[in-house]
Amino acid sequence: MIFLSAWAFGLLGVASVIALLYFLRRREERLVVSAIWLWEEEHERPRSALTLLWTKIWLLLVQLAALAALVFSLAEPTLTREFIGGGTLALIIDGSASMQTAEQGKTRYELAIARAAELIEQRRPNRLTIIQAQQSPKLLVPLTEDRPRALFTLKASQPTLQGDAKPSDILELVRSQGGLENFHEVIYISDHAPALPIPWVSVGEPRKNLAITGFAARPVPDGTSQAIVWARVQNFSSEALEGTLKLFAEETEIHQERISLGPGEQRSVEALAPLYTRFRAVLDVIDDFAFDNIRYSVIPRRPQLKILWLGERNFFLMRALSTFAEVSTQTDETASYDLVIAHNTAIRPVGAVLLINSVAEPWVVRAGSISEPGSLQVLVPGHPLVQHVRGEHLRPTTLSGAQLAPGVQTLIASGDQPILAAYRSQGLRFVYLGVDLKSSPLVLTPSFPILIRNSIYWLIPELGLPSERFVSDEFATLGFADQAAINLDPTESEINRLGSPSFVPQESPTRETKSQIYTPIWYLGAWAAFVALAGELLWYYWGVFRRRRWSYERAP
Amino acid sequence: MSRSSLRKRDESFWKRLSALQLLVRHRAEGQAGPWTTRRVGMSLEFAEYREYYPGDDFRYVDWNLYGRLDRLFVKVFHREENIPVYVLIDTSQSMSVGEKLSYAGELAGALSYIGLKDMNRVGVFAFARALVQGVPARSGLSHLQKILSFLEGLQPNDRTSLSTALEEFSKLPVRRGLVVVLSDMLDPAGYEQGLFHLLIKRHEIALVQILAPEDLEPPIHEVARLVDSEGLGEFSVSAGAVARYRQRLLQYEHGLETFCRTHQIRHKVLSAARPLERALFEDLRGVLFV
Repeated sequence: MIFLSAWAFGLLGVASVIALLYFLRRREERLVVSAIWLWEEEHERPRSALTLLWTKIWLLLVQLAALAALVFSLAEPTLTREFIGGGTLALIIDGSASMQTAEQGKTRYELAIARAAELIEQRRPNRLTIIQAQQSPKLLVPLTEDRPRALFTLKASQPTLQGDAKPSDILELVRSQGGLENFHEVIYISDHAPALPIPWVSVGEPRKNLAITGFAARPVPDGTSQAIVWARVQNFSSEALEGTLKLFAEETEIHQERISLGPGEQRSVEALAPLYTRFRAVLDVIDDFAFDNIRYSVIPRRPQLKILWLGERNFFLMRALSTFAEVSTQTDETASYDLVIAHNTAIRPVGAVLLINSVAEPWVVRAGSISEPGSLQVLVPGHPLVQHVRGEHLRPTTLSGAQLAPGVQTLIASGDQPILAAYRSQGLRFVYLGVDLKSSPLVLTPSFPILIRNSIYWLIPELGLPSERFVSDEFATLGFADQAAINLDPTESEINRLGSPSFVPQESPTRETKSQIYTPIWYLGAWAAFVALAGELLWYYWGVFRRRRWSYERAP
Repeated sequence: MSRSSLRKRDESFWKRLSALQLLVRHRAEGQAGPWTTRRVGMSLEFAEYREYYPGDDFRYVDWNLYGRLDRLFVKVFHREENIPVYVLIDTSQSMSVGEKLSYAGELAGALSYIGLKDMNRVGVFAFARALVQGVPARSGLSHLQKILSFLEGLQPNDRTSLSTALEEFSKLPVRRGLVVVLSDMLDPAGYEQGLFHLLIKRHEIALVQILAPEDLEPPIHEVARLVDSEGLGEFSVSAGAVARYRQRLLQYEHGLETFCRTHQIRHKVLSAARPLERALFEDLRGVLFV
C-alpha cells in the first residue's frame, strides 16, 4: 500500500490538541455538596483524580480513531498489486445461433463468457475490447481499462439467432478500436473455427441435433389451387436420431412423417397442400439445439404493378412480367403508374424506366445498326441485374448501336456496344437492354424472365421485400422458438463443427510485462471517520436527553 | 442573606399574602384568636347547655329553660383562640449550598406575616447542631419587623443535628402550636428522633424541605472533587456516580415521606430555584395555607 498524499500524516499532530482539550474538559472540578454521606458508596471505592481522568476515555479514543481515519483517508491510501500481464487484448465471442446449443444446463455462449472471464483474469490486460461476432457483428465493449465493467457488460450480453459473421466485418470492428497492430492478442471464442487466421478458443462438446435445413412452398404450376410443400431434414449428430416431421398450412396439419436418420444423413419430404399463404414445418425431436426444429415458408402475394407502356407491345415481355407480378398496362401518361416500359421507341425518361431497344436522350442516343456484334463481356458480374442470368443467352444476332452518356454503367457489352446498362440518380432510374426482342432468341431463354425480374426489382426495390427468410433477435431465447417466424441460417444447424482449437491459453502469457494495479481505498478511512463521529454525536445527544429526562418531580 | 429581601417586595405581593391563611388542623391552646376551638369560651357561637354550679355567672343562665323545667342551666359558648406559630429555620452549613438559607428566610418571613396578620403569635428560631437563637412568639404586626431583622441576620454555620435542635426546642416553655420546620432535612444522623420530640409535645408539624438544584442534579460532567459543606469529608467522583447518588437521594426522600405520612406530619419538598410566589401561592396550599 502506498500513500499518494503522505503530507496528510502531519495532521496527526492535531491528536495532541484533541487530547489536551479533552483532559482540560475532564479536569477535576470542586463541588460543594449538602450531604456527602449520600455519596458514601462512591467514597467506599476511592480512586485518585488521575485514575478517574483515565477511566472511560473511550470518547477520546473514538475521537482519535476518527482523526486517524480522516488522516488515513486524506493521505490517499492506494493498494498496489504487481502482476505479470498487461498489454491490449481483443476478445471476439461468437454470438451466432449455434452458440445457443445446450451444454449440460448451460449454453455454449455461457461457456464462452466463462472462458473469456478466465482469459481476462489470466492476461490482466491493461486495455481490452470485446466484440460479439454474428452476421451483424456488435462492439460489446469499446477499448477500455475497466476490466470489471467489461466483464459485467459481457455477462449481460445474449447470443443472437443470426448466422456466422463475415471475417471482413469482424476485422473492421477490431480496426475501429485502434488498428490490429495495437493489439497484443486477438482471441476468438467460438464453437467452430473462424475464417480468420487468429487464435481460436473452442467451446462446446459434440451434441445431438436433428434439423430442418430446408423448407419451401410454391403453387402447383398446373393452375390448380394447390401448393407443393418441401422440407429437408438432416442429422448433424454422430448418432442415429429419430423424430416426427409435421407440416402445417396455416394451422392445419397437412402431413406427418416419422423420420429416422443415421449420422450425417438427410432426407427430403414433399406434400401437397391447399394453396395457403403461410406454411410451417415442425420437427418433434429431443436434441440439444431447438431453434432449427421449426421453419416457416410463405408464398408471397404477387405485387400489383402499373406500367405505362410506350412503343411496341411484346407478348414475351408481358409473360415475363406476369411471372412475378399482377401487371396492368396503360398508355395514358397522365394516370399514375409505377414503371415505364419503352420498347422500340424514343422517350424522354422520367422515374423508373425499362428501356428496351429504345432511345432516351441525352442518356441513350441511337448510333446506327450493327450486323456483326463483337464478343460478349459481363463487365460487372456481381451486379444485381445480372444475378442468375447466363451471359450466352443475351448474345444478340443483330444489335442496335447506342451511345451512352457518362454515368450510365454498362453491365454487359458486346464489343464496344452496350447490351445491358443501368443508371440511377436522384429522380431517374433506368435499365437499358439493347436487344431487339422481335429478332432475338433471348425471349425464349430462361434468363429472360430472370433478367426482367431483376430489372424490375432493381428499378422498384420496395417490390422485393424478402418474405422467405426472416430472422429476429427479439425471441432469441430457448422456449420461444415456436412463437416467432425464425428461419435460421442452415449452416447454424451444424453444431458439431467443433474441430480442434488452434490455441490453448496458457496460465501466464509469453509476453511478460510488469504492471501494477492501483486501487484507491481512501473511502474506507472516510467512512470509518464518519461512523466514529456520528456514533460519538449520537452518544452525546443521548446523554443530554437522558439528563433532561430525569427530574426530581418525574422520578419514581 | 444574599437573596433579595422580602422588604423589597412590592405591595401587590403583600396583598396577595394577606389573602392566605395558615392551615391548622388540630386543637391548640392560646389566647383569643381567629380559630374556634371546642374549648368553652366567650365567643358568640353557642356550644351547649350545662347544669348550673354555684359560682357560674348568672348572666349565662337560661331563664326560659328554668321556667319550663324548673332547673338552672347555663349556656356554654365556643371559645375563639389564636394558635402559636413557631418557625424553625435550619442555618447549618448545608443550607448555604444553592442559597437554600436565603430562600428559607424569605419563606419564614412570609409565613410570619401571614401568621401575624391573623392575630397569631409567631416566633422564629434558628437551629443547626443545636437551637441557636430565636425571636419569641408574639402577636401583632409590629412583631414582624423584629422577625425580618432576625432573618436577615442569619448566617450559615455549623453542622446539622435535627435531633438535638428539635429536642432543645421541645424543652422550651412554649405552648403547643403549629411548628413549621424549614430545612433541607439532610442529616446523616436522621430526622426521626427530632421530629418525635415535637410529636411528643403534641405540636402540629409542617415540614418544608428545601433542596438546592445542585442537590437534585449535581453538575458533574466528567470528574469532580466533592467537598461536604459541613466538613464531613471530601473525595473525587466521576459523572457515573450521579445516577447512584440520585437513587440514594430518592430512597432518603421516600423514607422521610413515609415517616411524615405515618405521623401526620405535613411534608412538602421545594427546590430553592422555585420562584417564591409560586411556592407560596401554589405549592404550599394545602400544606401550610388554606
